[in-house]
Amino acid sequence: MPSALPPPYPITLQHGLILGAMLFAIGMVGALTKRNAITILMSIEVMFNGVIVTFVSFARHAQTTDLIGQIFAIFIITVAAADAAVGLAIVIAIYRLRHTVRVDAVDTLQG
Amino acid sequence: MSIPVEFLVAGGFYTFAALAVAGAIGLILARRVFHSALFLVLTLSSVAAELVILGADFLAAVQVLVYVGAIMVLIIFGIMLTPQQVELPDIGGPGQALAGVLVAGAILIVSTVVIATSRWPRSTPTPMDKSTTETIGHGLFNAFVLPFEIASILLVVAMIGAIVIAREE
Repeated sequence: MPSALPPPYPITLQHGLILGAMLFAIGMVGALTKRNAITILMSIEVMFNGVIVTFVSFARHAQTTDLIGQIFAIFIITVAAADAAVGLAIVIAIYRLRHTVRVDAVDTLQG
Repeated sequence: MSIPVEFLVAGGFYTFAALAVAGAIGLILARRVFHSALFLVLTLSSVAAELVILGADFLAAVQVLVYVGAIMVLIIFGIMLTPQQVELPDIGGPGQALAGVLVAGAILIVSTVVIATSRWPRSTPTPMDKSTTETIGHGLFNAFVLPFEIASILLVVAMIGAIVIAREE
């Protein structure tokens, strides 16, 4: 092996994509099965993180060096912060109204 | 006799990937909400380490500052402000749990099959000659300046909305 070449990067694109898919799927299990509204918000943050890992993997293995995948990840983090702020405000408002944060107890719109 | 670099990179990637997945599973299985929040800290920190391994050092710092710093403080404030009923099970009934696992498992299987069978162009990363902070800043203020301004408007609207919703009458 010629020593002038850089060492081979052992993490392929598929590694990062599968990690992102696993985080997304596990977060989705939490978002669909948990009953506490705050735990559902935390599961959604895990799903956001899976998407961030996917975008950064694509940016790492892209042909260009303009890092558009990382810029997209910055916007995802922005939306996640807004999501957490508004979501927790809604949880606190529901608690003040109903004295519970369990989503199966808040079913007024159910037909 | 030194450990080769690629072995360290691969070992770090697999270790932090396992920690991130374990934290996410622990978030679902934990019985108390505060334990779920601690497992979420484990997942977010491991994802920050993965971002360093994937060459996104600026993004890893943003992840630690925004997620582990700001969002976790917000979530723990939410847990403290809403007394929890720990005697009730937090997870849904068996039908709901089965349906959730089936839907998420189907998405995981489909995306894994697509990732494994697609032909990706090539997997050697492009070497970076500039720092990621400089490249991201250049992109944010040139090609992405309109999304950047819209994101700042979104943040202002979200903060005002959160204050209005959570305010006592």
